[in-house]
Amino acid sequence: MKKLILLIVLFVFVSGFTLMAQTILVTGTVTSSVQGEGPIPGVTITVKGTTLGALTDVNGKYSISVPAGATTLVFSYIGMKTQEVAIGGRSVITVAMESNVVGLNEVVVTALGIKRESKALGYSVQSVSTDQIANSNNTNIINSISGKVAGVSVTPSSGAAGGSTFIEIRGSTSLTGNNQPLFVVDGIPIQTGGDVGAANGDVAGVSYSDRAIDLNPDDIASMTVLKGGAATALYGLRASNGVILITTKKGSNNTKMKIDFHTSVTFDQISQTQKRQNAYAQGSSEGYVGYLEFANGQKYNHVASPADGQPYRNVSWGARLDTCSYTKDPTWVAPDANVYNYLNMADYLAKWDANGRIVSKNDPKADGLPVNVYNPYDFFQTGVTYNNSLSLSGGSETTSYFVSVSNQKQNGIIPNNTFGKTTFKLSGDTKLTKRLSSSASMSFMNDEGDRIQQGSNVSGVMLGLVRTPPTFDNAAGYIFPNGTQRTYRGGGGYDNPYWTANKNIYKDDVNRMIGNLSFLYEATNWLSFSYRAGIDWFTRGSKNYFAQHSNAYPAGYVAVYRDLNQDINSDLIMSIKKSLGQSFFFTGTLGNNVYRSFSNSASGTANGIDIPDFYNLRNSSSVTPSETTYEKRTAAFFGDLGISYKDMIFLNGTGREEWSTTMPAGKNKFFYPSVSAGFVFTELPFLKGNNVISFGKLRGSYAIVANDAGAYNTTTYYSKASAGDGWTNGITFPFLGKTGFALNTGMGNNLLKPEQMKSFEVGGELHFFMNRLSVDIAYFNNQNSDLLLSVPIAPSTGFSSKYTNAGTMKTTGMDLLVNATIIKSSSFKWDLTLNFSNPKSIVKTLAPGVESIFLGGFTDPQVRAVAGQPYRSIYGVMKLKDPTTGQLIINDQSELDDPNVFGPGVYGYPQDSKNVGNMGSVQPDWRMGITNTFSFKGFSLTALIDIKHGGKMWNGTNGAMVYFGTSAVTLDREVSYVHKGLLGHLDASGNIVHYAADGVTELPGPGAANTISKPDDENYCYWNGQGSGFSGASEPYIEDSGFTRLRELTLSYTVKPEWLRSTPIKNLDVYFTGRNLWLKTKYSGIDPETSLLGASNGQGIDYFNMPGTRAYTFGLRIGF
Amino acid sequence: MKKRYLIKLGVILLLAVFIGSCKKWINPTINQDPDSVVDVPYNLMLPSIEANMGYIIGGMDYRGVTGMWVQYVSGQARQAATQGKNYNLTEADVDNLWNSIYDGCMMNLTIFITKTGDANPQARGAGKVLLAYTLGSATDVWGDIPYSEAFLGNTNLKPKYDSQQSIYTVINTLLSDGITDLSTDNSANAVPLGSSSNDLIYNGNIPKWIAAAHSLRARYAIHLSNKGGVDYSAILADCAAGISSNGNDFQMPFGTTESNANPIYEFDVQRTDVAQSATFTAFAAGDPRLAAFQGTKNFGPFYGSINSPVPFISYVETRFIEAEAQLRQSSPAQAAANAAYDAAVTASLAKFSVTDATWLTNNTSGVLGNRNIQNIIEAKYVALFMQEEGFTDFRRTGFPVLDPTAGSAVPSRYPYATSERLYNSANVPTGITVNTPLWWMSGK
Repeated sequence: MKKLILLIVLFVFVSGFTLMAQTILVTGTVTSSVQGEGPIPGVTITVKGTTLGALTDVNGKYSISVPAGATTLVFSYIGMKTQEVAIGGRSVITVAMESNVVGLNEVVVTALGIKRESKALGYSVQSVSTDQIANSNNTNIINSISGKVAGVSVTPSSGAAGGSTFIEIRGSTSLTGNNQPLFVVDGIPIQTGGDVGAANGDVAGVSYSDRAIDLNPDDIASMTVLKGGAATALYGLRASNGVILITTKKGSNNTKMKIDFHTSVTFDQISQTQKRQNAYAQGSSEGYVGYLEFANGQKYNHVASPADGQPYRNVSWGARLDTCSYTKDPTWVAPDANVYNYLNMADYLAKWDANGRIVSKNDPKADGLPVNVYNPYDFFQTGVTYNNSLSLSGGSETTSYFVSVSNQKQNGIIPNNTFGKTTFKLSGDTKLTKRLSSSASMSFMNDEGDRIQQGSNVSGVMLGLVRTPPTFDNAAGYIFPNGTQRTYRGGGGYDNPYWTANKNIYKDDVNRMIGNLSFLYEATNWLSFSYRAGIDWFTRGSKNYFAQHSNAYPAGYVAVYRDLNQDINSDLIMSIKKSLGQSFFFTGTLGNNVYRSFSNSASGTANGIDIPDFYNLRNSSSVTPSETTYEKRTAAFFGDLGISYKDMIFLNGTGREEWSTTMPAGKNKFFYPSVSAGFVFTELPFLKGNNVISFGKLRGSYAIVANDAGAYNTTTYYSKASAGDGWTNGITFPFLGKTGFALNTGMGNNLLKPEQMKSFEVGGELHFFMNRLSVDIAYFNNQNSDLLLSVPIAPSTGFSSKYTNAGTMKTTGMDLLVNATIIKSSSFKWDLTLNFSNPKSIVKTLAPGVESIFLGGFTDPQVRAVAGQPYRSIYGVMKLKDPTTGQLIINDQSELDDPNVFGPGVYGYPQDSKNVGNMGSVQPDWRMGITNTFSFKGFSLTALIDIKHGGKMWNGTNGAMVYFGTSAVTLDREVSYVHKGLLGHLDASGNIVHYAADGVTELPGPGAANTISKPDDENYCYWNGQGSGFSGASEPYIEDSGFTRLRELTLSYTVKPEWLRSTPIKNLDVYFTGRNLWLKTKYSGIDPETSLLGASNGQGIDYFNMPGTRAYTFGLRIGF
Repeated sequence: MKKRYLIKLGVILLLAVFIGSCKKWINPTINQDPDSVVDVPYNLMLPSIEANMGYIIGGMDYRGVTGMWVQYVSGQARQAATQGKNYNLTEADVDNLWNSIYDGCMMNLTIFITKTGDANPQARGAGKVLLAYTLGSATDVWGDIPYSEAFLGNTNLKPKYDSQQSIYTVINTLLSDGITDLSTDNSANAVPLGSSSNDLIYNGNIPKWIAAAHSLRARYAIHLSNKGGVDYSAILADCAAGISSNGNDFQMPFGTTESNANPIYEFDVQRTDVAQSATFTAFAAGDPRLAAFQGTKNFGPFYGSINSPVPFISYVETRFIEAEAQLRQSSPAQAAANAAYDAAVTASLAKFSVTDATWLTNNTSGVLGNRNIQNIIEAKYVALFMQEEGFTDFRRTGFPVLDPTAGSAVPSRYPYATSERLYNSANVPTGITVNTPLWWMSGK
């Protein structure tokens, strides 16, 4: 419907413009001003203020139809100075292009929106233009820069619609705090982190959005990434993790209204699945074949009477499927009332198990048909995303405007997982007087998500899905007439994924407004004052419910949540730009910043509802209310002084003095400086005008940046009480009608200091062969000290943690950016862009006596910050190894190998050490993005290959699937082999010993090489749990998550402007983009880019995460 | 001239407008959490302390795991199988329990005892009784634990570990002092345990608190039966002064809503990883109480209902202690022991609302004859289903004879928590495994 409305609007405009269109034809030749170079093919000619354009042909000739009102043509070509030529009624215009040796009069936006020539900077910045992100078509703008900026690491949490994405610039700077950059939109910092109040970083629940998702990619003109301390120092506290500056589109002065419409449709498919076995039935050799019980007690094949009253229907260690068949005889097997709550067997078979029940092939009632294998991944569907965006822009001599509206509707690959977004933006610039100008913009965004339970969560989709035995069809129905669940486990344990997708719903909506107003007063040609105020305001509401009979909340559950977030920011800036004599140029900035961040949320949680399927807080006798508030304010004065000599030497210094309310009173003020220098050595007389090295610069910078504490950490508080253990949902207050308070287990601290980062960077920039090749390289070294964290302390002190300045961390690495035009002919061009970075963050020290800090995860494994180790190390239970040789210790206790006792699975197998250890770092060794762009006439083909080398991930999904016997790894369960290692075991005091020849005497250390042959069967994987990652060591399930993937492949076609001459259409592009079309990885899980804990520091955990996606987008852009 | 004026104007504007308001803007009160308080009245701490104790000690971390070890129930799947059936309880598995007991229950109790102080000695006495019970529960699974240097926050970040023997002295002192405090004339405080009684256990009934303190003192004294020098007459005196009927049992009630639910009930409906134990079922074959212990879910209505109480110490246990003490004193009193045994079994049936006169006749001393220590402990094992005394008595007496998982012995204790090993490493006892015996398990 929305699409239809947009089309109608479009047609109204189309018909209006048909009447107005009147054009003249301008032709001419473009040559080089350099003698002997002659005409230049491939020069871009555009009509200023429009997107009308043309290219010169092989002889440098062009023709372009120009609207009657147009005044200026713009001629541009890489390596040449862009020229604007007044048309002045001429129909033939010949132009000589001048070489632009420097090529770097390029103006970039730096901190506080200050525009600088890029050659003047003593630190590295990298911009991403709208062209580079326009066709990516990601819901979240962050995903669109993945692989495109050196030093920026982007990790999507999953392929769930509306899921969050984690972004870091040049590694990590904080141990347990925020490591994600500050986003600044048109000068106003906005919130982009995880949802306030919603627990990003949980191992269960749903995949929440980060708030960068609210931005409309079509509104963005460019993004600039400020990486180092010197680049961000002026922003102060909030910018210690780098800054992403977003400049939105604006209207141009003296331009008629321009209409741009962009529409696209994207199809998403699941990208990779965890491999499963399809050869063995549900059950256990200790239990029975399949999911049936024999009324007559008859035993077939592996069938035995269930032990301890527990039928082993939860696992897939049953009979070989080729030994099984079906029976439809309802009298043959007893209906299991406990299991199915469904007493009429014939009816049951007819409705839910159309093939009948599984019996041995040799069973007299077997019908002889082979047993079906079901593919649980059929659960996933093709996701479809519709994206429509319309903008209007233009301007008079003094005023310009830009208005846009966009709508996006995404149906995910998981049934009922949807995300929708609608945005409106209005911005205008006006010159109030000759010296005073003003601009304002206002955006409104609305997001709506329907999210699905994931992760370590008995209602998680993947958890139930991949543990399902191959012989059970979840899709045959998830609910019985009496309202209970149909699951392969007989209702208990965890939910049927279809039940979760249909009966356990999480809906949220966000309404957000970002507005800013700014004034610029140009007092003289060298002095100006500007003032800018902005507000980022949003509310988020969610409603989450679980139906009765859900395994997470068997009595049903409703939670309602509402919050209000408000950030205000004000900057007052005075700027000076002045030449000092012939050779020196001086720039100065002095300013003040005031900032407040406030949020308040209220929620009600009802555990247990009375009327089924009525999800309202009123429908419960047990509602737990909660309220949370956060407020922080800062104020700062800052200054930036720069001096340059002959465009060759640039020196810059900044300082910022800042107050923050989150620091202890009296110690809440801090100052941080930065210095930077640039030396353009190609300005030296003997290098100037050189044709090989067209431009060369060396640069260096040093900055001290600080970061303050989170709010409310200076005091120890009492809070509302609750109690719980690791097994259950726990209890909350009010309890039996009483309120209750307990002392917080985190100790406050009124001696806090700010965190400090000393950031050092050196680099250089070289352009060769008239800019055909350019290289930008930077080495950086960030030293973080006094890092604030909640240091764990012995609970016997009465507290489990103390908030204090403790850690130190060091991040070093290199950023490299290469741009090359490999082939350039009249009709064909091949451009290559390569970026590379290898930031490595090492935790140097933590608090005295504290070896490691929990960042996220489970009891085992966890992602930790460990002193002396790379940040984000995965810690977990290791296999028992010989400390000298590193070889596995294979158990030699044959006395444990009693065939009459079920479940030893110890003798002849590797064993758990019972100790936790470092199983590797989540950080990759390096990342690289390679973009190749081929242009031929109107066609353009862009391929982005994204490479991550190294970095570990815990594939807990597979660990659990081995336990339950559904993993493809368990296919070799009948094949015996000799585990490589040395014989031995742990003695009573925990030392490695081995048996002497007598099999009794324990000798110290490991013995000879193992010769015992054993299969990795259910005894080892399930009964004893040693072989699975679910109850055994997690170490074998740590995998390399490196990958090479075709991140984006875009084929676009721009219709030649002359073909559109007789239409009102000014530009027309069609494109196809494929995302993640090809993936090469050693990682066996759903995707090497995944994070159970979303946009949090606990990266590297895959435990029943939602799979990633492969996407195909078809799009159209049209301009009038 | 004009330019100079503009510069001055700009600078003055920048400084004047903002410096003046900076102090107000950066107001330290902004950094006070509006959702928490820096101090609370002690009567609002009591419900939280009692509920925490009930949930933590009554839940799976404590009674669940020890209950699987003494085969009240059987761990079948997932973590319950690992910890309960394979006895593979790691230090990380006990972190939650240790933390809840130390920085939850006992830290708040320490503050509660300080806050009540001399102004309200009866409330202080109740706090001491609760602290003694929590401390006893902790030392009975961990042995040596911190107490004398614990709960000092920043003042001592590395509390030393006290021997189990000294912890037992502390428990005895806390209970004796608690009885003294509770017996103080407190007429100045109309409602000693808080307004409209925030005491969820006894609703502010001081005589019941005193009786519970006596029963607890008897319990912790009889735990030392292997140590010699036990004053059995004092135990008998405490039993006499102890809990006098089922209705006065020292137990934590739970509510009928999911957020106020009993922890075993929550486990039963949310995890279902335990099953009825074949060992217990065989042991209690024909017992009319079995239906109260075992149900269609894994736990029967008495322990597994949403509002099942969590018993801390009961009249039934007091009578079993009395029966054992009668036999263990220097001149055993067999008749008195038989009478206490019969009273315990009779009261236990009543506690679970079971009437079966025939069974009762056949299972009391009238038919069975003189009761010995094994008889008493085994009957106590059944009567105190899923309570921690089953585990303690097994370790102390070896009864009942259990059927451990192949190749293993029933563990004797919990490992120390990861949090202590990592952050108080100098003090945590080393060389301890789950099979290292506790101090009171062996003689002298």
